[in-house]
Amino acid sequence: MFISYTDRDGLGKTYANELRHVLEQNGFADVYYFDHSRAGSLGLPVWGESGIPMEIRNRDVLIVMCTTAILASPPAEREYCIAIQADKLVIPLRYDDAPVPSALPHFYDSFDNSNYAQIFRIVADNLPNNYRRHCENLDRIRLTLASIQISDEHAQPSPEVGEVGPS
Amino acid sequence: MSYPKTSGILLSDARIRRFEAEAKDTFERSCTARLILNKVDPKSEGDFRKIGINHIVDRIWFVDGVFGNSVFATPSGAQYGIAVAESESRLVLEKLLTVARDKTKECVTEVTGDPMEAEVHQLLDKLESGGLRPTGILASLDQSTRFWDFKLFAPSHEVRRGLMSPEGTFRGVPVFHSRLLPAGVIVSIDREESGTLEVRTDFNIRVSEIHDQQDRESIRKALPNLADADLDEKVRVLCYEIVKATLEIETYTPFQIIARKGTELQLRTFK
Repeated sequence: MFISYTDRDGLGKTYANELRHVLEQNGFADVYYFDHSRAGSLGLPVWGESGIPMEIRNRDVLIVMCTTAILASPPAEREYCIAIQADKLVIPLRYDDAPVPSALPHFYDSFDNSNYAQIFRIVADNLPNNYRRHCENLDRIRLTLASIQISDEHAQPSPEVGEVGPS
Repeated sequence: MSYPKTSGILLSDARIRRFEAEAKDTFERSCTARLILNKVDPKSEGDFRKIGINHIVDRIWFVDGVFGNSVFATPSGAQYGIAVAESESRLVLEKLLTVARDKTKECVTEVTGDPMEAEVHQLLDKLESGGLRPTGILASLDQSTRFWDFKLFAPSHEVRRGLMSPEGTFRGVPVFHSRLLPAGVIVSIDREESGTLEVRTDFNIRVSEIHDQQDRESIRKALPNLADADLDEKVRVLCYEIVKATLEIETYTPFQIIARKGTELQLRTFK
């Protein structure tokens, strides 16, 4: 699990921490986020292949904490772009009426100061099912790709058993 | 998996329309090959290729109704759009990399380590010095995210609708990515001069019943595990396009490539 956030608004890190606690309580042991405000002082090769890109690729899910300054955060944008490209399950979580980047899925849960603990628990409870559906989708794409036939323009592709299902 | 019987229920036009529309929309958002070659009407004969899928799938997804406690959602057609688009891209990129392997001196610059910003500038300069105008940069997955480190990269903050939406622009040239390119590769191309993708039949998809007896026999011959009665619970998803890709390389090279030293210019394959 990778949590992407920005703390430019003084909100993202707090809720990222809270979410991490809830996820860990629900048995998700490998929860990671990177504190970009400390990157310089740590002298880390943040964006090299062994840095954040690898941390994202090594995980199954990326949750984007969409707080008020999320659109002003190039690191967060870069993180979710890597995750989308790598076919990870990407889940936006919207704080109050904060913007949700348009590149992200259009279905999301919203939370505020009063209900974040409850919403985060729901997100954690639903994660296994959401991840299963995501994997089923990816499997169907792989199967369909494997069924592609390239032939002479007059040939009819041979029939194969296929699988369809909801996205 | 065994589903409730549906052969007595009419197929839902609305479900089929949504399924087909999603497939077409996804194709249009994923056809990276058309960033490399301009799509044109057919102007030649021969060498056209049909890229197709002929799937026999469960009928229950295309009918309305409640079955016990279960309702089946309208299925997604996205997988068909993605599959045909990626195969078309593979066809075009394979041609491009074949030329690159044959004319390495003219069109490939090898660099030690990951390409730096100055080297991407040189890539565009080299194309421009040949009188061409870069219309797109296509990067491997690992390289596309490295553009974010470049001073002249402007990330796109607009809605990204699949692979046809650029990550951003570099020197005003849109930057795209393709998972097919081997790691460490960046391609710059002038689509207006690169050749053509002649399209005899553009992407199309159709869901249909399997009634014709001869058709049923040929399906059962190909898929012997299906009994004749099983076909009453199935529909066919037929999806294809007919295209011909031609790269213009007689008088000039319409693309330039930077590759990490030692990179094999072969498309990636996936299980």
